[in-house]
Amino acid sequence: MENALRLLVRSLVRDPDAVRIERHDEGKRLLFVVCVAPEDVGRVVGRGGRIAKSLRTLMRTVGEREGHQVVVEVK
Amino acid sequence: MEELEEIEVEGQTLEEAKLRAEGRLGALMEEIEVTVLQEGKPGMLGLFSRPWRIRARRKESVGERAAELVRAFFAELGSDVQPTVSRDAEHVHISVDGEFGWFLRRRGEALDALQYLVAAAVGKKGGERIILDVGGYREARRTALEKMAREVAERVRESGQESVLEAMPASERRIIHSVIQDYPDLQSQSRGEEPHRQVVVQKR
Repeated sequence: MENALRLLVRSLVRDPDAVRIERHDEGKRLLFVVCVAPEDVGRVVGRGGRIAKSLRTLMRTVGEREGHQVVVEVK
Repeated sequence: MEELEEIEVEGQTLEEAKLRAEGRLGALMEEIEVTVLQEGKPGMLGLFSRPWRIRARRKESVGERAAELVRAFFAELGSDVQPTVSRDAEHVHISVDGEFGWFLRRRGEALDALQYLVAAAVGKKGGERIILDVGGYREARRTALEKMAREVAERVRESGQESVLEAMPASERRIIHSVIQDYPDLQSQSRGEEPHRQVVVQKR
């Protein structure tokens, strides 16, 4: 799941090697913190936050399949 | 995905080398990516002249890059899929076959999200829109919406009362509007704010 998220984030940024995904298991809740190069933050947030929202929506559905309540944050 | 063919060609000028590459690859200049391997020199009286040598290959299209990203995404989730790419005037369609009930809950919101992310990742050159379908969802939804729109149209015609449909995304509202256009005595419009925008069908 983490790898699928990393793949998408890497495809969105200019500096894919700077992409890091932190995973925090909090019981049923699973938090992914997406860290990218400072100049790439806008590319992962998107206009009006649409990219970040899409990442959240997508990963929520992917997580449900494995019984996780997935939350994605962009840092 | 098929291997991208790469060729090396020579020419007395850069232009000539590129034209040869075009011919050999059967592609237009803007579809070709060129790396200069050796800069040519005109020389004197045929002495000390050196041809231009270039490496050329066909660029991957937006559709191919999108399909590869979709394939890789599902592969990371343990599903081996072979997306197909097709084009019409304005759209690049990427379709994935298989059983994807888990992916399509809440009206395919994950599908819309993935479509948006893939389009953002590959860039929308030339204004081509990417339409992603998984498990035949969009096709089935279109058929169901067209049927519903015709039923609503008949009802509004008979009763004269306007009908407010359930909220749906822009792509689905467009399907309703296009069906209603077939009824000269009816009209449709959207009301409300996203994501609760609803189509209203009424008599003219």
